[in-house]
Amino acid sequence: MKKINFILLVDDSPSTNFFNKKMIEMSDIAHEVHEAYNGLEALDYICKKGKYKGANFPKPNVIFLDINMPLMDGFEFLEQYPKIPKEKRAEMIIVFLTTSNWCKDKAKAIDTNMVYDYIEKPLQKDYLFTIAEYYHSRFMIKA
Amino acid sequence: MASHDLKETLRTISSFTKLFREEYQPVFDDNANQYLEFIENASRRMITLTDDLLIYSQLDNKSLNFQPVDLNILLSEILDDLRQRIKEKNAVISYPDLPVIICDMIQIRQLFQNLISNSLKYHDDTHPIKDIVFEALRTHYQFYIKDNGIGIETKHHKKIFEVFKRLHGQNDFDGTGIGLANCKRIVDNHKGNIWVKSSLVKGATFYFTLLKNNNS
Repeated sequence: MKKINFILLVDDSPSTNFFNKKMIEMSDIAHEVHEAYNGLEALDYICKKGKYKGANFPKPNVIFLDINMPLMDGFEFLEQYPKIPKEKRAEMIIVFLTTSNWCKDKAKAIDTNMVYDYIEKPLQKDYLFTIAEYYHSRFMIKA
Repeated sequence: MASHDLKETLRTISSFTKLFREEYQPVFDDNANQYLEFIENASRRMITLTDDLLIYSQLDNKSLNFQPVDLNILLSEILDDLRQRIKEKNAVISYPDLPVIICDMIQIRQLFQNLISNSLKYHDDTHPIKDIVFEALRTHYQFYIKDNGIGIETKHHKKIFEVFKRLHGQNDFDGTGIGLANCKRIVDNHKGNIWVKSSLVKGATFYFTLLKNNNS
């Protein structure tokens, strides 16, 4: 299977990030995975600002984004996201929703027009395979 | 909010337990295997418990949304959801042509679903039979769900509708003790009653009524 080049995980829980990263590694669908712990760090990472200033890494292709986070939550991140130059933006954003706010947050996520899918944490291998396949059929035809 | 935090924490526990088993299974001895199985079962049970409690707490303060509901459609959807378990148990479920009633659809769905899954669960026979019967009384609709399951002793007939009251150990029948308490709350919300007629080994019939004019 062709791999996704770069996946960015944005979640404030170290154990969730660890688990999700592990699932991505075990399903072997990506060349690289990076974790950011809130929306602000994710923005810095994508724009190579703050502690990532001058860093040299590829742009993320797929972002898994938690909603409930300190400093800058998932929706605040999505508000800032269109300001990022298009060539730095990921092809797909997938949002983690939580049971208690499922309906409300799902509607909000759809409204942004930026979210490909919304799922429950943590990541499952089968889901990752589907995402990898979709990604390649949709964005990698030329490759 | 609290329930969501609870659930997410629980899911972390069960995710890592699963991962732990996947990666280290080859080096486990029997003891380690059993300990892990206890943890897996407990966290699975805790997730169900949290789900049920969440529903229970929402039934109390949720604003009711009364609307016309075609019970024939509702029931066919429920049976569709339960089709795997119905097939496994070789169960036969029959119901007559049902009315359109004014009710809170989500709650009434929960009510039928709980009662039907209970009658599928509390069974040692391989051919469970459930009949759903409907009568229109003067002020209320009356339904009953009759099964040929393990039955309930008369002395427990009231107790089973209280929250966390269970008549069986986890080894016999899995459960949280919240299902029938939820049913009672739903029926109360629809100004009706719920009761059971049953004796041991002879199956059980759960009756409930719902007020016809639930608009007010």
